[in-house]
Parts: sequence; structure tokens; C-alpha cells
Amino acid sequence: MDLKRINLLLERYWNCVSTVEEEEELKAFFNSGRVPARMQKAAGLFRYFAQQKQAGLDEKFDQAVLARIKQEQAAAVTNTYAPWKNYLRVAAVILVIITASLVFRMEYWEGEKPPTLLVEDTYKTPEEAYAETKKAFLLIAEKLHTGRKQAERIGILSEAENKIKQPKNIKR
Amino acid sequence: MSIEAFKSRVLPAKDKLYRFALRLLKDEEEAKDIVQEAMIRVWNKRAEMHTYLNMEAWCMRVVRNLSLDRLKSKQFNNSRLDVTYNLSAPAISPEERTEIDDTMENIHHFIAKLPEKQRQIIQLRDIEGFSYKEIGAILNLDANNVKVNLFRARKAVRENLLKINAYGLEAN
Repeated sequence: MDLKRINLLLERYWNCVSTVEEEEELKAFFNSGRVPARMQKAAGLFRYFAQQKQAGLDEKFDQAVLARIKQEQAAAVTNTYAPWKNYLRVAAVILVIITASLVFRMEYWEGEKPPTLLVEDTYKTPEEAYAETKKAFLLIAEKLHTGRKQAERIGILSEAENKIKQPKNIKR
Repeated sequence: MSIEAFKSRVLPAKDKLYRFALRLLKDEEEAKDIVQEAMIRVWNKRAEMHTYLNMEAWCMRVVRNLSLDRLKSKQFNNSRLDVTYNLSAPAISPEERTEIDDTMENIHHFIAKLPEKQRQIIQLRDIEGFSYKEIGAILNLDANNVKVNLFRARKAVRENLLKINAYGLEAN
């Protein structure tokens, strides 16, 4: 390479007017291995720059970073659901309040209303009702009569029992 | 941003981010930690991503802020200035190798002792090849301020090189 050009580029470098490309050219020249003896120190500098650019991180680093990102993503998923859960809590509280107020209102307003009739009219006219009532009483009377007959029989039995318990009354 | 977009747009910047963090923290494990943290932060803020024109510059900025926070919280001591320096120079003759290697090691320790801002700018410009505008975006400085600091840093590096130099740079 043209040494004049290298000297010019070096001068530009020391004065901080060289471009990035010109500085790359210097690095390439001094790392080429064909450096004149009197430029050894400058070569040391540009070789140092080139050498320092060789340090780096391996594949393991990538894996570690990507693994951590997966963790962060998993954490992010739970984080995005958290506010939704909070809304659910708020909704539940509101629901409880609404239900409570409804129940309270129902109880309160029902109390104010006149009591409803327990028995409703069965027949349209009083005559009809009378006839049916009479029929019902007759039925009761008839059944009561039947019941009395049975009761009389029991009466005979108890009379007999009394006589047995009181032997004095038995005629010899 | 999907995980695929993250893999193709953010993950490839890991080496640059790591080197920047390493320049600031001077500790490989800490730097790796910070880059991972930065990646997760970028992922979590992916919704804001469209507001950043330069994804890489944004990532660098996150790394810088996290690194400076780490430095503040841990109060890193000066013993870290002498971070281990690994040589991996390209193919050069044995005689050259010793001299250039010595120079490179010297430069490494010299840059480590530069003021914070100058050190960051050397890393971003001379090693990573960012434009002044991009560096300004990363460090939250205007382009002129970047240039002034870079000039000071290069001047200091040049003076240091001349000091250790027997016969080289004066000619340039």
C-alpha cells in the first residue's frame, strides 16, 4: 500500500478528521503484516484496536438470554391476567350489593302492602254456596251418626268390662 | 417485537455490548452479567423500540447506564485497572511480535487509565467504529463534545506512544 497515503491517513487520524472508513483502512494496513519498521508503534496501536474487537460472547450466552426472556414472557402472561382478576373482584362486590339491596327492597316494600286474602271465593252465588254447605253438613251428620253406632258398641263392651271389674254387682 | 426480531436485531450486538461493558467494568463476568441484564431490559421495553432509530446505539446506552450504576454501587477499586491482557496477535515475525506485543500491552494499560469519558469514546470509535453522531447518542453528548474528548484521548495515546517509542512515530 502507498505509504504516503498511510502517513496522510495517520495525520488525519491524530487530528480527528479521518472518517470511519479511513480508520478502517489504517486498521487493515497495520494488520496486514507488511509494516515498515519505523511504523511499528502505530502498528501496535491499530493491531490493539483490531485485537480488542475479537472478544465476544458465545452461544451459551444466547441460550441464557433466551431462557430468561421465556421466563419474562411467562411472568408477563400472569401479569396481564391480574387486572382482569381485579375487575372480577370489583364486579363480585357490586353484585353482592345489588342483591342485598334488592332483597332489602323486596322485604321492605312487601311489608307495606295490604295482606292478601287467604281464602278465595269458591262459588259464584250465595245460593250455590249455601246448597253446598248444607250438603257438606249433611255428610258430616251422616258420618257422625255412623260413628255413634260404632261408639255405642264400644259402650256395651266397656259396660261389660266394668261389671267384671266389680264382681259385687254380678248376680249370683 | 417478536422473539425472532429480537434474535436478528438485538442478539447480534452482544459482542459490541460485551466489549463496551468490559472496557467500563474491567471484569469479564461482570461485563457478561451487565449485557444479559441490558438484553432483558431491551426486551421488556420493546414496545418503545420504534422511538429509537438506532437499535444498536440504544442497546449500548443501556449497557453504559447499567455499567456505570454497577460501578457506583460496588465502588470498584483501582486494582481492577490492571485487567488481564490476552494476546492473540495475527501472524507476524518473532522479533516484531515481541516489540508490537509490548506496545499493545502498554496501550491497553494506558487506555485503562484514561478518564472515563475518553476511555468510552476510544472504545466506541477506534475499536467499534461508531460515528460521532452515534457516540453522541450513546453517551448523551453532542457530536462536538465527542470530537473534543476523542482528540484529547488520541493525543494522550500518541504522547504515550512517543514516550515508549525509540524510533517510530516521530516520522509520522
